[in-house]
Amino acid sequence: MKMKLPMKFRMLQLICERSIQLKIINTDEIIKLIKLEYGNERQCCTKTIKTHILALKSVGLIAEIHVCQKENQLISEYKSTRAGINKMKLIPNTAESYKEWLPFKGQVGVLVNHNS
Amino acid sequence: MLETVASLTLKRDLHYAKRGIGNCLISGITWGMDAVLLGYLLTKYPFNDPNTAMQASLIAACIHTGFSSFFILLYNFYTGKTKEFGRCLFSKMGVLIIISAVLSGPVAMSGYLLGINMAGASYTAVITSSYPAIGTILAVMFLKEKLNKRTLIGILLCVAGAIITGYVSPTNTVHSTFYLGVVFAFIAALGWGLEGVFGAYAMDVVDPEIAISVRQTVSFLMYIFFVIPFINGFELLVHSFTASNVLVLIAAGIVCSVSYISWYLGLSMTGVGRAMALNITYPIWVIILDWLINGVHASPNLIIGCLVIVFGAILVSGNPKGMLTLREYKE
Repeated sequence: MKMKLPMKFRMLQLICERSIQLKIINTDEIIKLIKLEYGNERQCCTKTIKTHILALKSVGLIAEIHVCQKENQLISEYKSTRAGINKMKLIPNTAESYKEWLPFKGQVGVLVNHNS
Repeated sequence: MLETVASLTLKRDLHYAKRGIGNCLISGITWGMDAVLLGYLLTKYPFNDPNTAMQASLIAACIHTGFSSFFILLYNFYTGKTKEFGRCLFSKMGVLIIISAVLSGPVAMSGYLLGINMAGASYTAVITSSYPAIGTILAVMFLKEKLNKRTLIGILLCVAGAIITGYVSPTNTVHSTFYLGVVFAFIAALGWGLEGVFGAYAMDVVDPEIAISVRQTVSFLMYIFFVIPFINGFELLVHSFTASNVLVLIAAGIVCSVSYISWYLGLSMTGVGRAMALNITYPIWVIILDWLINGVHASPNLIIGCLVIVFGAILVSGNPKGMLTLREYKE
């Protein structure tokens, strides 16, 4: 049986995938994508998502690379760090998003070189 | 405009760090309240029978963990995180939390009680109070946790203060099982230290409120299926549910739930070293509550120990700017 990843883990996966594609993802996009997948759950609210983002940032799994202000709201752009990418090894093959990660698996070096 | 954005970003990050410190302090206060409630419970029938003192402590811990597990599950149901429980349990992180639950629950608790029984309360209290130091060393080694000198001194002061408050002059009689008791006390300290590190690692990708729910549930099941049958304690377990005890157990379960949720949030938001140092401020609250409720006056070593803890806690939490980046990874 396939199961969704824990919401916080899924957020990290989205940021890692964007980073490997050398693309940037911002707070609004993360909220939008997560609400598409977890929106039917009461836990899935902007406040919780933003708290998870700060938690990922504080332990160094993602890095905030640019911040701007839009309608009195801070919109941050994020990329994954090497430590964040290393966490992707922990995605179980029973997870719904496991197959989504497979194409990126071999491209981890791209991001590592990009960061250094 | 740029300055405004920068200052708003700093304000947001500092608010997050301060919330982490707040959670750690709440965990310490409620753990103190919990200790007072459990201390009161252990003076009641059937826990007060000297012939079953060892059994009673483990049974009290089992029921207390069970109630706490139930209340945390209820809380997660209320916050709409029920599905996360299964997701966490069936992920690789779930395995880590299960190991941590086994180590910090039945293993550490049994080690603590066996330590008291074999080596005496004084040595056991001193050894087990060192768990934040063990946790900090492990966090620096394995999680690459970043701690400055001031924070490290603060953590050491909190540990020293906890040792002073729990210190009882050892007796001159050394039992033949003394060294084995010391080993058990170290097992307890290691178990609690490892819980922080394993928990923090798992909470990198798992919601802390779910991590603690898994931890408490697994811990309770371990007690029920392994510890209680081993000590032959089912009869005592059933007798524990007297009308007056149930009320105390429910209250302790609620307080314990608040304490553990705050503790795990603190671990995730401020790092292992700081969270453990602030959690170990609980002797202060035990002393204050004991004085308020039971009129117990603190002895000099309790007052000195508390002052040392307060000073250490100020050093640990005094500079939230040091918590904006908890770990140091090479990019």
